[in-house]
Amino acid sequence: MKEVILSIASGKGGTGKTTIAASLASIIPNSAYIDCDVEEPNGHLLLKPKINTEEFVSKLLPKIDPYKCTVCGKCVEVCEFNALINLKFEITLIDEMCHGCGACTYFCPGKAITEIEKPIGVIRKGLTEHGILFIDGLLNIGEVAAAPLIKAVKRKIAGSKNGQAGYFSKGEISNRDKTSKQNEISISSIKSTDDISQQYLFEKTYVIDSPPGTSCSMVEAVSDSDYCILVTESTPFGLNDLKLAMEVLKTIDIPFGVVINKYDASYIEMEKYLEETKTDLLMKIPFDRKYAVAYSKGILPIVLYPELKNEFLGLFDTIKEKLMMVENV
Amino acid sequence: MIAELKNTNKEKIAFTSTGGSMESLLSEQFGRCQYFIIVDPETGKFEAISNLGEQMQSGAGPKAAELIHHHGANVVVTGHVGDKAEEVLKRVNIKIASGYKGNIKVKDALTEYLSK
Ligand code: SF4
Ligand code: SF4
Repeated sequence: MKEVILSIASGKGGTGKTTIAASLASIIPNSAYIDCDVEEPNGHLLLKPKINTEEFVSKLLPKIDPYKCTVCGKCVEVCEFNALINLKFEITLIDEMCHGCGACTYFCPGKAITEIEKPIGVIRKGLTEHGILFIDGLLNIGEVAAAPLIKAVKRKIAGSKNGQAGYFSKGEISNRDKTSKQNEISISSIKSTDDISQQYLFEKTYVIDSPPGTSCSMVEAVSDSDYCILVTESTPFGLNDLKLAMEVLKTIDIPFGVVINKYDASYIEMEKYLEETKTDLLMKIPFDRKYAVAYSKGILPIVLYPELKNEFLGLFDTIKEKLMMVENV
Repeated sequence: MIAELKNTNKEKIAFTSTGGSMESLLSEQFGRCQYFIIVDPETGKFEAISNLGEQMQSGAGPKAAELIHHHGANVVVTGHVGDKAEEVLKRVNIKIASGYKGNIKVKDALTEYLSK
């Protein structure tokens, strides 16, 4: 395995997940940042990629032929996503709810259903100034089902992971070496990891920014990850949501560790819980106003604050070990 | 008490409720209420149906509309109905009486509704 997938998730929104994902992507050699938080993709604000391709994604919606449909209700029964409603005189579809899974079409006894394409969002890809590969998905407004788009975004990784026609051509990857004035700081941050990168065996590391919460979109985003970082914060809510997210990862069997953001030493319950459950605590980031200010200006805090960058280098070191362990399994 | 309210009203009325009886408090949420109480003012009988939508991640509204439609409701008394649920309710000709507050009991909401 020459490529790894590292996902960054969080039981709730607003924990600084995107900042952490984008920071890691800029520190890890040969990384790609994949924003799967398609309802509210923010990574582009911090990484400022130059988008060079946009690809529209559609899903297949069932279309019911009223002349063939007997309103038997079978399709409504098999739809897991509550997208079909039985009005008794006919079946109606709530477009936005439909995941385009095809179950209704498959099970319709009267072959009354055909499928039509409907655009649900767009996948953008590009490169940042610092040469980080960037992919994100942007869900159309009003569209509820994020999972199909996330799946499409992740297919971009699968293509290259299987060594098939990768999403990025070689030419694009070599752009990575390009330097410019504004990116000096980050280039130096990549340089300073040289000693690390020499031992870092992976040709490509995909950093996935997962949607917050523990919904099916989150599961879709983190599944197939080699390792997952759960971001939380030192509050009872943070702990509660962390527990839920840990549950999910255990169920789908993905190794994980925890980063506590906006760390508050007086809230001891969090660390107590991690200790009790023998969960790896990867990093603690103390709350600092200046980080929040940087973020609000669309600047990665590690670019401005070397002490924070060092913390992230340390985090990368820790994760690297975890990934190598995964690799050896 | 309900029998007293017997009137010429032939419509079956669904109430969004927090519990399974006429004494329960009304729920202001349509899709995610715990129960629907469906009252037949003609006979004075009522039926409590638990609403699965309470646990649904999304799509609870239209499914709730489907549920009360299948139980023969002609009108729904509740706090607020979302857009998608409203669409379904309109298609099956269920009247929406919204704006009711969750601080009254279902039986009082019934009195209030019938007095209008
Ligand atoms: S399964 Fe087919 S025939 Fe049955 S209600 Fe659905 S569309 Fe109609
Ligand atoms: S395609 Fe899948 S999600 Fe869409 S209506 Fe059919 S069964 Fe439901």
